[in-house]
Amino acid sequence: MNTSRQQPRVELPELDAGLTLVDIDSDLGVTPVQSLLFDCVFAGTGGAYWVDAAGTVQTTRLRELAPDRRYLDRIHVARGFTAYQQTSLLDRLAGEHVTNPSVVVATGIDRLYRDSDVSTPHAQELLVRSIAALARVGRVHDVPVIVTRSRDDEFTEPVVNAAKTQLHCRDTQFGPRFTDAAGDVDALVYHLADGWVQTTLAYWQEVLAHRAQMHDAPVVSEETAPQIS
Amino acid sequence: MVLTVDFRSSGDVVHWALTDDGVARTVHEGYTPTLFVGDTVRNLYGRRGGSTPTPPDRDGLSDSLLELRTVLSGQDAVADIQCESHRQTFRTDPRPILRIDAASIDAVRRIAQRIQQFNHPAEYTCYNVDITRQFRYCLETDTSANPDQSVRSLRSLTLSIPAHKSGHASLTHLTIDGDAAGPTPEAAVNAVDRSVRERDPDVIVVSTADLIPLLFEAADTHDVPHFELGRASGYTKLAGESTYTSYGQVGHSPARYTVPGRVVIDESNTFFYHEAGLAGCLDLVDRAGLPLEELGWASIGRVLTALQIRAARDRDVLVPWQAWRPELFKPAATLDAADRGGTTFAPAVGVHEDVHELDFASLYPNIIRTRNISPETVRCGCCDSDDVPDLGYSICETDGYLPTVLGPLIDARSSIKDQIEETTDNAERERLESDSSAIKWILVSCFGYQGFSNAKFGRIECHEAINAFAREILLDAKTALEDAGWRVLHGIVDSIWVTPASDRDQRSLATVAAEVSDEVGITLEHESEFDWVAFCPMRNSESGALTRYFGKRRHEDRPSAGEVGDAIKTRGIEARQRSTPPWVTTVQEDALCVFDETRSPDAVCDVLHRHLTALRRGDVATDDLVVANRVSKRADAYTQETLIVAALRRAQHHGTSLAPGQTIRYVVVSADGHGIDRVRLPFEETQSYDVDWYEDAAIRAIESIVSCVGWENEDIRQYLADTTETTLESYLGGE
Ligand SMILES: [Zn+2]
Repeated sequence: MNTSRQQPRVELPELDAGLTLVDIDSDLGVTPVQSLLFDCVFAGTGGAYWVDAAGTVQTTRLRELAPDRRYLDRIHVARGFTAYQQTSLLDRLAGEHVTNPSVVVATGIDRLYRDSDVSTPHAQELLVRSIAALARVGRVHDVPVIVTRSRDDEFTEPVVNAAKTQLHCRDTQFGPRFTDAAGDVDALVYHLADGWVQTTLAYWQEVLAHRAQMHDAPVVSEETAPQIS
Repeated sequence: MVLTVDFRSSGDVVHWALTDDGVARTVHEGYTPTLFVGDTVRNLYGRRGGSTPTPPDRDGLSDSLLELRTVLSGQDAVADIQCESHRQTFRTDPRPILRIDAASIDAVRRIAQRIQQFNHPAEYTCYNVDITRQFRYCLETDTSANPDQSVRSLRSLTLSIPAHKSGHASLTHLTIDGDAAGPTPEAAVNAVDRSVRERDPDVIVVSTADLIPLLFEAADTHDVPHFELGRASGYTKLAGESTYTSYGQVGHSPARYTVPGRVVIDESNTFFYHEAGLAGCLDLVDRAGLPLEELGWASIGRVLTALQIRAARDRDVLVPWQAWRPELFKPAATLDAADRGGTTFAPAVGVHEDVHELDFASLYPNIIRTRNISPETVRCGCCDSDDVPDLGYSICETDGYLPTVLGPLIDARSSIKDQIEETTDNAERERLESDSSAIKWILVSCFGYQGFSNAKFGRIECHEAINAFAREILLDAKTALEDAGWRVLHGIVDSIWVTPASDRDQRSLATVAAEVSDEVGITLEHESEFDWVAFCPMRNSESGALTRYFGKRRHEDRPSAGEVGDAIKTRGIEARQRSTPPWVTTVQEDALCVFDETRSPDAVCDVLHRHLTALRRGDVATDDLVVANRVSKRADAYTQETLIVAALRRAQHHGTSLAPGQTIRYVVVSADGHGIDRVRLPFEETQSYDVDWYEDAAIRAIESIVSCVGWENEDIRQYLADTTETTLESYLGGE
């Protein structure tokens, strides 16, 4: 798969402990978040806890991305389907059953609170409560917490205020690029000599295989996994 | 034993029961409906949540509940506040919480909303808040919801106006039990008044609930003295019109009205009355304990919820207001296995001879029952066993409540089925079939309901477990049948189609089915035998469509030429779809008959040719060309100018607006034309139609049939172009 002779440079932003809000160009889907999640799992010893309110836990994609199937046993997922379930789940993250996480992910944190059966002031309160619960988890376990939102508007302003870092993942002509407003982070995920990239599954598979190797994390070469040169 | 319950603005409740010659009216003064409030959800599903959710014991109320009690005491909406112990979920023990008696039925929700706004968000969990009022009354006062027809049979009266009419003028079209009421609105109102007084009905069936305010208004306008529909004065609006989304489908729920002392059933807003008639509804009232008027407008999910609420009360478990219960964390690997859904064996496209269909009887409900699947038993936390195939979830050793809810329904349905087989009395059979139909819908829905996020007692893990068992059962059955010399042609959810494998001897299907039934604990029935079955490919593809097939049942003769009757079973093709115009259905059914006789795509296309000739001559009645589509959104919300939009606009032009969830009927007169002139509505009695549009529809219907022998749309068109005369074969087959 990799045709360049030199060891390619594959970058993903290093996440600090605490809340990181990631806004992603919609063309890229949830894959950049899944990649950040895997990257933290490679680097750490524990698992990932992913609370999804956006309907984006796609295990097919996770399975395809994983450089080794065994990573799927280290990623713990739970989906909220109502605003109330989401609230309970975020509570549970702070519970005794969550041990030694390497990363915590909450996708679409605002989505269910926008549902019509929750009144607006109440929804705002529940959202703030959720953000506080996530920040607490980050503090208690000293791990990165990745948050995504379904919309950038006044309703999600509290998420921006609470986040230590706000990243934007853009789809550029050189491939996906993570930046933040302060200019502290600027990572073009995969530098290719010819400047031509594909943001497809194969692309991300290769990115993750390199990252896993970088962290000395296990990679198996099944027929579906990418070959590393 | 109650017929209906009225809630008066004074707070009094009037309870009506049948007597030999009429009804008995009892006033229940000072009825105070009850709700409960527990602590923050964290105690149940949160920090201490996970597999053992029981919170630590405590004696009295928590500080936060004490604070709430202080705030609520003395409020007008609150009649009384106590501390009582109850179970907040099926998996927790009773613990002291707040019991609040509301001053009136309307105060219940007001109090709950106030609690939600008090203190921190999600500080309290409320219970027994959104229970429909008559059902609540029956539960709280221990009153049977069954009107008790051993006293006497119910009397009913039906008032109808045509669907496209509205306003006072529509009353001139009003019928009372099918007979015209009168030539003027005034005469019609007088006739209704007379009929209601003379007949004293227990149930008033209306074609639309809007008739109720309309009749009262007209009585007022025309000075009809003392006009009443109820057994006391006036009427009540219970709910306004609304549009909702459920299971991804847009529905429309019209306004609801009731009158004192009688049950109102709105034909435009009832599932069970359509499916099962009054007798079937009453049978279900008895089983589910939901009073007749509320059953009338209830969805399947609501009836299932009523059954579960009764089971919960039997176990002292409260009914949560909001869906707080989340799924447990699971490894992505497990979710990946769970997400695979039901198993299907893609059908072998083409025509197969000597085919047998075997079905597992009520597979999902029986899995729930035999595998003890219930929200509190799956991943129970107290048992550490690996019970669910592929997923490794444990299932508790303690009996779950869901099997006890469904068990009686499964048994009732199979005993009704036996009675249907035995009876020779047609009226009896009809009654049994309505009962069976009402129960069937509840059984077929219980699986989907478990995965529905807002279901009161639903749980996604149950849904996953049921799926996993179903997958294993179907695969085991496949293996057993193959070992016995059968080739599996197709399998989906609970059905398997087999044919004798070539070059092999077969053990009898009855024997294999009995062995599988024993092994699985669920009966595998030999459902049907076919002379042949054709599995259709998906459109523009060579692989098989999962649910499109047709076949000739063995030993069933077709009733007469051109009629399909029970002899040919079809699924997923145009003739089965409600939207298909009757003429297209006829073309397809004629073609099926010819296909049965000849297996020849040429002969089938000859049938098509004959029908198209009639179509082009203008010989098809426009009544047979009516398309019926479900409206999914309001006319102005559609982004494309489809025929449905044209029809909706045309209906608006005639003063009728259809809401999402309703059905729009139209004849296509000029598909390529402009705006509302592309279609006509049935009552406009048009004589013309768009020949090309209907021709395309007929060709597609024929394509569904001949695609199983490899013919595509172009092949049909080519054949038609080549055909100048219908062949002799088709005359023999079709006329
Ligand atoms: Zn157990």
